[in-house]
Amino acid sequence: MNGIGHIGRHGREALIIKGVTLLLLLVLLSPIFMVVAMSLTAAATLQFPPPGLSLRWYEELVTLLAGPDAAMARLAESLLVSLEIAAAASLVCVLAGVPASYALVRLSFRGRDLIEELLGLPIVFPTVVLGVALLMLISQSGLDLGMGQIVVAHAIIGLPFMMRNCMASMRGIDPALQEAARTLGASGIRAFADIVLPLARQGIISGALLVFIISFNEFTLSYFLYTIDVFPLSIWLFQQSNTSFSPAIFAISTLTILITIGVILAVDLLAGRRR
Amino acid sequence: MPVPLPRLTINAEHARLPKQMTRAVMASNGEADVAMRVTARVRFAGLTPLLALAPAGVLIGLLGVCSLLILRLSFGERGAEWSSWSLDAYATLADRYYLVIVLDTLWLALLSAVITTIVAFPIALYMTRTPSPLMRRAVLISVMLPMVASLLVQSFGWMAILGPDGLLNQTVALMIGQERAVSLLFNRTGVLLGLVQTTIPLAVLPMVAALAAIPVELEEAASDLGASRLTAYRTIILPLAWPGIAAGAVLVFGFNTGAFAVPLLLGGLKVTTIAILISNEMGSSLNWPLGAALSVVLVALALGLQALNRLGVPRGRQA
Repeated sequence: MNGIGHIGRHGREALIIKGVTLLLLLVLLSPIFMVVAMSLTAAATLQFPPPGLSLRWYEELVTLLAGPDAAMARLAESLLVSLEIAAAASLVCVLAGVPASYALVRLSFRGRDLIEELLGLPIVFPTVVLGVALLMLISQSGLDLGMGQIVVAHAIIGLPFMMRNCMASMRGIDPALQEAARTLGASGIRAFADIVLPLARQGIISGALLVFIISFNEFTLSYFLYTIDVFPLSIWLFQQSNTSFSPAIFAISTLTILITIGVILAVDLLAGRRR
Repeated sequence: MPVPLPRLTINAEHARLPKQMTRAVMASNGEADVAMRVTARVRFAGLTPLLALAPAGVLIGLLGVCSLLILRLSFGERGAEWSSWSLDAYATLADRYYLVIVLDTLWLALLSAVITTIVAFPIALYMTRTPSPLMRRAVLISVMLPMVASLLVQSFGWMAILGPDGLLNQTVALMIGQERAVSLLFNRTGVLLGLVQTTIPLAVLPMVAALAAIPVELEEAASDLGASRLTAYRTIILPLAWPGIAAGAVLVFGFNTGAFAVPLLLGGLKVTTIAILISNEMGSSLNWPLGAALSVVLVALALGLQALNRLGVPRGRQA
C-alpha cells in the first residue's frame, strides 16, 4: 500500500521505527519496571530474579506506616509532609498562575513578550543555584518558614508548567463570550469568574496536577531546604538508600510510581478532552 | 449651518476599538463620564495587568533576588562575604582543578545531548506517524515518566539492573561465565545513562512538533522523482525538522549542564559536575564566594543557551 499519505507509514520502514521505539522505551522505563518487580519479591534480600512473588513487603509497608519502627521511623510523617508540600505548591501556582496567564493571553500591555519570557525562566534556571541561594537567603534573614521554604521553591519551578497549561486552555476561549457577558452587564471580575474560569478549568486542573507531581518527586531543592522538622519523602528515601536497603524501600518506591502514573494519566485525559 | 453629527452608539463590537476612539465617540455624544467608565472597563476588564501579574511576579522576583544575592556573594572575600569586594573567587576558577571540572561537565552535557537527540529521533518519528492515537498517547506518557518520576526511585532501579550483582551482570555471567564483568554503575557511563533517560522528553517534544509540520507530499514527490527513502530522510526530513531537533538538543544540553541529582545518585562520588562542586563549596568546604562564582557561571550558561534557542528557533515552533 503506497497511496497518498502512506509513504513510509507502512511496511518495513514503519516496522523498523516501531520496533526501535518500543526497544528504546523498554530501556528508558527499565529502572521503573525493575523497582516494581523487586517490590514483589518473596526474599528478604535484593536478588534478581526474585525466588518467588509475594506481597509481604507491602504488608511490611502497612505496618511501617501504621506504627513507628526504630529503623524506618518517620516514614508516614515524611509521606504526609511530601503530600502537604505538593498540595501547597500547587495551590500557590494556581493563585499566581491563573491571573498571570489571563493577563498574558487576554490583556494587552507594554512588555508583554518580555514578561512571558521571564515567567518561563524557572525551567532553564539551574535548580542547584536556586536551592543554594534560597538557603542562603533564609539563613541570612533568620526567618523560619518551616515547610514554607520548600513550598515556595517548588512553586517557582512549577509555575511555568502551570502557566503553559493554563494559557493553552485560555487561548481556546472565544473573547466574544466574555464581551457578551460584559455587554449584558456583568462586571469584569464576574465575567472572569463565570466565563473564563469554568472554560479554562481543564488547563488549570492539568497545571495544578503537574505541579503537584513535580513537587512530590522533586529531590534537589528538597535536599538543600529540608530541616529536621520538615523531612520530605525524597530525603527519607535518600537517607535509607545510604543506610539499610530493605525490599520495603522498593514497595514505597512503587507506591510513588503508581501515584505518578495516576497523575500523568489524569493530565493526559484532561488534555485529550481539550483537543 | 453645521451638519449635525450622526449619533453613534457603543456596542460590544466597539470594545475592540482603541480606547481613545471609543472615548471620542462617546464624548461627541455628550456622554463624557459614561465614556470614561466604559473605556476603563474595556481596558481593564476587571483586572489590571499589574494586579494580575503581581503574585507570579513575586515568585519570579524571588528568583531575581536569589540571582543578585549569588552575584554579590561571588564578589565577596572568603570569611567576610557580605562586607568586602574582591575578584578572588573568579581568579580561583581559572585554577586547573576547577577548569577541568567545568569542561568535564560541559563534555558530559554535550555527550548526553547528542545521545538523547539520536535516541529521541525514532521515538518522535513513531509518534508523528502512528495512525493509532492510543499508541501515540501511550508513547508520550512513557517518554514523560522518566522525567517526572522520582529520580531517587529510578536510581534504585538502576542499581538493581547495573549494580555489581544486578540483572545485567548476572546475564553476562550466564553468557560468558565471568562474574561482575560489566561495571556501568557509579561511573561516567552510569551518569550518562541517567542524564539521557531523564531528559528524553525535552528532545522528543520539539522534534514531534517539527516533524508533524512536514507535509507528507514532499516525501511522495521525492519518491516519484526516484529518490530512495534514505535520500528523503537526508534531503527532506532532517533539514526541515532541524530547528526542532536543534531546539531539543540545546534544551537537553542546558538542562544537563546543571545536573546535580543524577551524578550525585548514579555517580557514586566519582563524577563531579559544576552543580556538585557548588554544593560542596557552599556546604562542607565553606568557600561561599567560590560556590557563588561557579553558580554565576552556571546561570550565565543557562541564560546564554536559552537566548541561543530563542534566536535560533522562531517562536511558536517549540512544543
